[in-house]
Amino acid sequence: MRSKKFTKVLVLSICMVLVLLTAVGCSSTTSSADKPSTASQAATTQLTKVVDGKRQFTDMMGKEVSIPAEVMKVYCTSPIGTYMVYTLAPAKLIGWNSKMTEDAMQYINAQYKDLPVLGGNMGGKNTYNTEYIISLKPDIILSVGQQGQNVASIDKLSEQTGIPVVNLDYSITATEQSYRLLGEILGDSTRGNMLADYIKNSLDKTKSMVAKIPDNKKVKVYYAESADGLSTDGSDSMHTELLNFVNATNVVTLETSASGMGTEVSMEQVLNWNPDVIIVNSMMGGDDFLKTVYNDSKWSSISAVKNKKIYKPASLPFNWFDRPPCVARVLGAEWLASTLYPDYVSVDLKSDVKDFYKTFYQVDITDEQATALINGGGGK
Amino acid sequence: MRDTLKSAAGTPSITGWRNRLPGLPVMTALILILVIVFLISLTIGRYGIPFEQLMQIFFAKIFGMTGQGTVETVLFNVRIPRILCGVMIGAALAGSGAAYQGIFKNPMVSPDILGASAGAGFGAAFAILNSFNIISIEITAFIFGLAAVGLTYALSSVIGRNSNAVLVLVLTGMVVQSLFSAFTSITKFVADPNNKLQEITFWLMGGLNSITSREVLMMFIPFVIGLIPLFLFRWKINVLSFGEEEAKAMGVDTGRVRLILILASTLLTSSAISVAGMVGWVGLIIPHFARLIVGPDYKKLMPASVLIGGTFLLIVDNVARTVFATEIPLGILTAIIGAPFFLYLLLKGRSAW
Repeated sequence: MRSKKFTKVLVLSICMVLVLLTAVGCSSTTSSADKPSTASQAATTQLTKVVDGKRQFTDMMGKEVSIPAEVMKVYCTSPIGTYMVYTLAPAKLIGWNSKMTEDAMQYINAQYKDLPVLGGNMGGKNTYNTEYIISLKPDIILSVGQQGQNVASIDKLSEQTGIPVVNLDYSITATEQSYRLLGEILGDSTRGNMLADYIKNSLDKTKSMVAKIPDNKKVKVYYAESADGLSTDGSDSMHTELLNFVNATNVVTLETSASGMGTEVSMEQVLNWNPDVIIVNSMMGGDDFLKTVYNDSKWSSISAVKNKKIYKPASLPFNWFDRPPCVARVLGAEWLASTLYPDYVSVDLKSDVKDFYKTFYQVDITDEQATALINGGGGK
Repeated sequence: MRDTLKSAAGTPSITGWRNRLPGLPVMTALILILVIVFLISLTIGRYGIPFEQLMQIFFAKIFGMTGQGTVETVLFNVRIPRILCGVMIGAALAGSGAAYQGIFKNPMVSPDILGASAGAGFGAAFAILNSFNIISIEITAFIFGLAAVGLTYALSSVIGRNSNAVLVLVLTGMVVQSLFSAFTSITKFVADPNNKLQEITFWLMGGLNSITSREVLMMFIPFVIGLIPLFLFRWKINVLSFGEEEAKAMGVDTGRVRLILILASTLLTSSAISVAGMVGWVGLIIPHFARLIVGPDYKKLMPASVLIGGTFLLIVDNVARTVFATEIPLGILTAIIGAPFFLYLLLKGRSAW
């Protein structure tokens, strides 16, 4: 009898301790969650210096790095970096992070279509094969992240392989600076600065136009990231940076994950937000969502659905809006601004698209392709 | 399955277990296989190192010479640490699985089923959230792994009185497991996404592609501490599996022995998880496989499980790191091999238990 009672007490107390500990853990984090200030301040970077055959500088996460003076091969741990190198010095790219679709391939120059797929560090997972990376002999590992982001796993890779890591910043306002620095690292400052200037001019132009939008004209946008439309990212997320940039209001003001996991919301919550515009993403179930949403009674009362204002950003070869948040967003900013605010933003989008593809991807596209891309298509 | 254990209790002496195969030659063979697989593992990988070059490097290393640059980096910073960890992880999971099965007199249990893995995972997440240092993270993982096993055992002995104890323990384990998984999710939910969340995710995912000599050391110490009691007390696991009264009659302090064995097994589990993340199935199937070969006597079963576990995980990891240009997560492979094998055991009948 006694032992039975004892076991019961033991079990109960273990349960209580566990619950208490969890509660303590939760409360202590919410109070100490000092979030690193998001992107807006462009990182100040001294450009590089060559000492004893080594190029030395402070990278965009504030780390002192020393790399070979001449960098011939680069391994990028995520598509954001891969696309930066591809647009700046494609010959120095040793591989992609994941397999590209046929549709995307038609915008990729022939000699880079067959680069090996190497995996990377994406969504908290490491899929690269350390030995294979070493066998390709990259001179540097490029990691493009966010201020204050944890890059411990990339540092590990560097420790194992002895290959130095260079950190750049992907936030939209830091992209220009990233290109200038990367241009120097890759030994092609001319192209690096040319692209950086292009980025600066394009973003400045968009920024000055959207700056005129009065607060009461701001469009309420919801970013639907799943086939059922109920996954999203909040205004603090790296995935919705462009919405903030073009002066739109992200209806999701919740603090959501900036790590790429997003958050689930309820239908009632979306009805309550009643967004004017919904942005979908073909990488995140957007096509399936578009197929059903206009016939779905749950969604029919939402302003964006009623007025048929659901937009899908182009995703070829790289997405204009997000997933990954890469350099294509420079063009995406212009597209989004002119889509959301036709009264305030007047641009020759078609010619700018062709110009961007020529400048960054070094491909000539036709008027039809440009138009298709603007409408979210562009595939075969 | 209980019947076989009961009938085992009827045998007059512990040494009187029916022998599947003679002990010593089998053990020697298992050690030999592990050594051979280990040596083969050194030669394979995405970075091709020819055998002669491998020999040269080792000779150079022995005579204190340096050279070869990249090849040495691959061998000493990437491949060897990974191989060593692979062996230890497999051995730890299989050894603790075998011990748990004996301690709880239940062939269906393993570190994951008892909740040790989920508990250790939560402990680590909790520790990372509170910015503990690396050693405290390990200790917290161990403590929560232990708490989970304790909770499973205590709950099942309350619920399972007078009923199917085997089933109740498995079910309680599932409850505890999902409870701790939920705790982990809460921890991830409140974690700072830029920093802590990534760290937690990275820790839970594990994976052997970022192992350095530091991880080898980190794993080695708890591995040895955990394995020693399992070896020293391995014959007592036989006694424990007879049942409480028989064991007491044989003069074994069941409470103390059980506690030590649980502590040691959980330490092994949590140290394996801290390096490799959640790797399922090894702790469940390897002891069964070992039983097929050497029979149910823990004197032979424990070393056999440890040796086979190490060999098995090493082979699986070799596949994971060589087949594709990108890594295949270890847990996927162990599940693909483990689940059908376990079904085969179930279909084949319980004679092996």
